[in-house]
Amino acid sequence: MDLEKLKQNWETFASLVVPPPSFVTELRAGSDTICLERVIIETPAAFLPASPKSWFRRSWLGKHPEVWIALVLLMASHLFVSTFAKFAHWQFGAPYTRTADFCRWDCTWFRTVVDEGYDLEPHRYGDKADWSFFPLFPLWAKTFKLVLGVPAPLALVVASKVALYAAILFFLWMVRGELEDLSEYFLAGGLVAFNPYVLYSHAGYSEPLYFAIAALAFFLVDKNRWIESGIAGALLSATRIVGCLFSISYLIVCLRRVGFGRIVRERNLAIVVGLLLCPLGMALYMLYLYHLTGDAIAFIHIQVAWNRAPGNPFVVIAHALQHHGWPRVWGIMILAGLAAAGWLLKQRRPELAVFLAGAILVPLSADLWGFPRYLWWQPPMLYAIFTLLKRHRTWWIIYVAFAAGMASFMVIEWFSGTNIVV
Amino acid sequence: MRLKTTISVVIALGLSVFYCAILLLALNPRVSEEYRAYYIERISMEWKPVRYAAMLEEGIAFGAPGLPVFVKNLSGFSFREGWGRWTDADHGPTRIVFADSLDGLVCLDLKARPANSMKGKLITVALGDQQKQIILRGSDFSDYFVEFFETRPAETLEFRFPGTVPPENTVDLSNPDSRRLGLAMVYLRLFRGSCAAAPAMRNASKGNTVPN
Repeated sequence: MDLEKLKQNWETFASLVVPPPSFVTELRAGSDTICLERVIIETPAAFLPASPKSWFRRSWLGKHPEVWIALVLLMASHLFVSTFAKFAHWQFGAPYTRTADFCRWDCTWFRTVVDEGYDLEPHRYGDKADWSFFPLFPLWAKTFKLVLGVPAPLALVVASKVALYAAILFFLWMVRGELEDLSEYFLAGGLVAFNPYVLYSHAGYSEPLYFAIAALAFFLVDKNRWIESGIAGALLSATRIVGCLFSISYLIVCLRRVGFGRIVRERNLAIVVGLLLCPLGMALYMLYLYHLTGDAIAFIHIQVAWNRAPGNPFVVIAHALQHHGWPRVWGIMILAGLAAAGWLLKQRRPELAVFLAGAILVPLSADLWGFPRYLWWQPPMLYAIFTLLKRHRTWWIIYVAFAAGMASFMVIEWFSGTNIVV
Repeated sequence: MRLKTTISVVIALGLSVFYCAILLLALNPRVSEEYRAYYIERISMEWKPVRYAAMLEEGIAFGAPGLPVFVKNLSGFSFREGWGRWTDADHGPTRIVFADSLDGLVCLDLKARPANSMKGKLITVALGDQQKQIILRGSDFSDYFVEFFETRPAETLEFRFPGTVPPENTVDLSNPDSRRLGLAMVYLRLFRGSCAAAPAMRNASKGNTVPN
């Protein structure tokens, strides 16, 4: 067999394997001697469907490893969280005996939306109402309640776990350009599945759904799929208030890739329609709130009940850093998040950088509470971490140690009753 | 191709009009006066507070839940504590709006103490268009009396602090409290007539009276 023939066989084989093995790159780089040795050993397997391994590689799942990797990681994440919850139960009688017990704090607010709909006027705990809990996640959970016929707390927890699967999957799509082999798929997916604040994806919170839709929206806009990206943006803005920031990221991508002049000249209406779709989810929610309460921005006004008033986020950051304990820890996280935004800018990903910076500063304009989960459930944040760790492989172990430690600590704290986990 | 373009134009125009309409709705809420005062303008301190029966002479007990029937709303105060409430400039001007207007000779009896930033400072107390000034010097709670003469019908009592009220933690570095505190108020009573005739005045030090 001559070298040209071997190369052709290699390329056929490589095209069947996703992700392409690293040695194909070596072959393309012209390292013939190394590749020849591998050709002799590996090529026949690629053309022998009798081998289960090769059959799997050629199957649909083999070509889309993110689908099963996300499932494996979801199961591992579920096992991790439930194991530590069980430890907490054994050790200090944490109130955890079944999956629905994870539904605490904000999950109980989502439960009121699922079970009773939105409040007509503030009446909970004196002056509170459930308007600040955006509608897409309760709607998503309501589907599980109706289909599975389970109580709302369990439906919310299951809905957040299913959303975690989508979050891992869409994040892998988002970072696919950076992935070289299966191990990197696992590492990237593991950043989501073993996030330091992964607890919230098992506790009936909207974070994993928000993350999944945001990652999907970034993936679609990266592929110039404007309308689909706009629809994802609309869903994102119906999940959390900061979802609206995607409109800015969308605009940045359009202007960088197509340019304002070309959009006007070519009358590229798909781009305009996609942009206009981005805030649609929030606008529909505003219309609904106006119909229900007479106040279209009741989700902002109700923050008074939590003693939150719009202010300067940089003052909040300064205060956080001045205080000992958790505020300082969160303050350091804020700085790390802003540094990650800077890194993304350096990596020429301004759409991710602006989104991340906005997603950090918008909640901080109210106060510091709940900030860590807002930061750690941002796709650009995990994207920045992945690209950094890919460049500095030896940091993986340090990151994993801290992330896993924090994740297990948070599970235990979740049942302790402290409000640092809110 | 033309059909696709037409559909896109219709969608784009429809969405633009829809967003303009939503913006208009957001700017023009259709809510009760109480809701507007508490949630939007933030000039009221309590949402649907419990009303308790009390006369002007019995006053407002800031440590008690709810408000007396003669008070319409409060603004510029921090949350309720066991002893009373602090004023907090972050919550707007310190203002008490009465349900009915006050006029004639009125004596105000305030039991309070100043925040560190307000010790020895001139604080203006305004009932309607009439203004008086008081100085709170001590660190302990004391009764302070202010007399308003021939007041024209007024529904609003306001406390105005000199300059910008600083956060407490910038004045007292050992105090982590970041609220912009002015006065800690235990109660506020109102007597029709001269302060000299007010029963509370007879038991209190006249040194705290500041007739203008």
